[in-house]
Amino acid sequence: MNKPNTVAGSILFTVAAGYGYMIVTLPNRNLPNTMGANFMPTIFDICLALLSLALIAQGIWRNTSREGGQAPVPLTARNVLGIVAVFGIFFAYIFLINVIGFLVVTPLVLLALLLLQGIRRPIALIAVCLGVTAGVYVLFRYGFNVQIAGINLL
Amino acid sequence: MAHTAFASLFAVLSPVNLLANLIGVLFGLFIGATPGLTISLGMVLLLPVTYTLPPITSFSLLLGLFVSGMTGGSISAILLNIPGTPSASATALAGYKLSKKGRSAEAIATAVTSSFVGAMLSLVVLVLVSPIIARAALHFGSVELAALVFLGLALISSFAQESVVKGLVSGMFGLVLTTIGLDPITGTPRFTFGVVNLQNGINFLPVMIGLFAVPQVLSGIVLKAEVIPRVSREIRGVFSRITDVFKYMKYKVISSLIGIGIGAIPGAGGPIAVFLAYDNARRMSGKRKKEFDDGSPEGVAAPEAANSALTGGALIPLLTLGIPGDPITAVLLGALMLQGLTPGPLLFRTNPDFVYAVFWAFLIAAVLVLFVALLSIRVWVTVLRVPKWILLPVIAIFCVVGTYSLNNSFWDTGIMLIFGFMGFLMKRYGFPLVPMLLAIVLGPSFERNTRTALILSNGNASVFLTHPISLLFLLIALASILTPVIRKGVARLGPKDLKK
Repeated sequence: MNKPNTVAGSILFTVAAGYGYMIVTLPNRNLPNTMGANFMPTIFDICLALLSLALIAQGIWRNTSREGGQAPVPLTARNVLGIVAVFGIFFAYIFLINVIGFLVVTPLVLLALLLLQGIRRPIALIAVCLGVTAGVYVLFRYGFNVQIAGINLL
Repeated sequence: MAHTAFASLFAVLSPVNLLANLIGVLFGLFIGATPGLTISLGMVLLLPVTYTLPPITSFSLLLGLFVSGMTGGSISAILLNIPGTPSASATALAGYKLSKKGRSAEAIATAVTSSFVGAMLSLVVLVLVSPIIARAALHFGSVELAALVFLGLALISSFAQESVVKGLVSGMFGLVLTTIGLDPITGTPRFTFGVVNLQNGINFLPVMIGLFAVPQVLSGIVLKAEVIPRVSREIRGVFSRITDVFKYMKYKVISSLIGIGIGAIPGAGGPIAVFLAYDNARRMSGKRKKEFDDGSPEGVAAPEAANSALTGGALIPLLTLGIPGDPITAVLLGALMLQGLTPGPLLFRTNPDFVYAVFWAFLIAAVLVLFVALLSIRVWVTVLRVPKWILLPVIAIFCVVGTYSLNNSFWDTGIMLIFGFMGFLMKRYGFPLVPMLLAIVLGPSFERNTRTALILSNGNASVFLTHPISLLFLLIALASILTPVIRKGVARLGPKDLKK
């Protein structure tokens, strides 16, 4: 039994069922002799449902952990925390960039990502945080004339 | 026509466009030379920038990256035995052996000059063949176009290397995502949940950045995946070997033709072309097979000419039919659409100046790569020493800033993050990412053309089978869906050696 395939297939089948429900509730606004707005979604939904069933079937009947490839390295609690931390940093960056400004928040985000990778040398931390921030800012703002994050730049 | 061609040449030669091409070349060499960073990732990172540039400038940048990325892949293949790109895999076979013999400079010079020959020959074929295909394709109606886009979507199965079902699931999920937004025929809002941002559908650019770049950052930072190994090799005297461009010409020309042919077949893939070229060169070496196997310049020249010839070959179906043959051209297709240009036969009629500019930009990129790569080889050797702990945070910042700068919108960055997480899970559990990308790019066109064809035929679906060109496309699509399934079945039934 291939558990990841079975789980993924079940999730996708649930998605297909939910999508099917939403298709049924779509407003019916057809022009004469035309397929309605639900025509393509219905076809895609049926295909998705069938494919998710195929995935579940593969998960039940195949012993291999991953067809033709290697099984993914199991995630440790530390890895999961790391993933949560990276996404937390990303979300905080997106939120704070508007509040504080690119030039303030970017070095902090870089610092967090570097610390997460185990970098502890002060000079390296300062050099990368300030250098990269300045480089990206100059490149986007003056090189590509992009209003970088469009906002409270210091 | 000549007037348009010359006007486009002058446009491409303007300082801004030349600079864009040069930046693309430098970035491409960096991306190509760095194992773990792909050309598609490089293009995706540059896309937000191209959004603000005129079409010719943005394509000068992207073509510079495309052409040089292929060459850049050979640098790490030769010096580290780690191909910078999948298409440089065969180069590592002979190149690294030459490098171990102390012939790194010769190997790199052979790779760069062979890439130049491959790119130039593919450009000649591109210029000669694509207008003919485009002229024929001008007679396509919505029936043929729908079948053609379906053929493009059918390539999903050829991108699904590990499991056809997973590839199809990935593609189908992408198609489901394309139905979000206003219905293209009736204008009915679909699956928008009253959110105004969803009315225009999901912008494929944040999706691309999320799917390709974020998993790379996550794997590198959290799972400590090896992104860049260390290198400490000194090489000298590469530029003086520029005359090597005329060496091993027989190998270069034949391998280029192989590369062009494979590149022009959507979904065939670069690694096939380079290994075919390598194998062909080995057979051509005749009695010197032993010498060839121990590492010979011909073994570098053949795959490098083939992989650079792929670039021109891959542009043929992209420009003439709007079909991306590989992940890189799928991103290029996205870039064209961002500029409001619709690739396909009409592009040759409505924007001939742009098409000529693409040809010229390709030519200039090939020449720039030759000189820049040979002159700056020591820089790239140094670049190979950039530690991943610096590179990964830089990519992360580029992802966020690049996506945000598209519309100055946090909505896009949020979408990027959601798809980044999805991409990480998909990669981890063996769901290929390219089918989803292909579906998101081609899905709207598929729906529009299919429904238009059905409206014009009063709902008669047999119209797709009664039009000969449409039928031909559908048969090819069917073959391309079934081929991987049959190939897997044969491999499973075959002897153990074949399975390996």
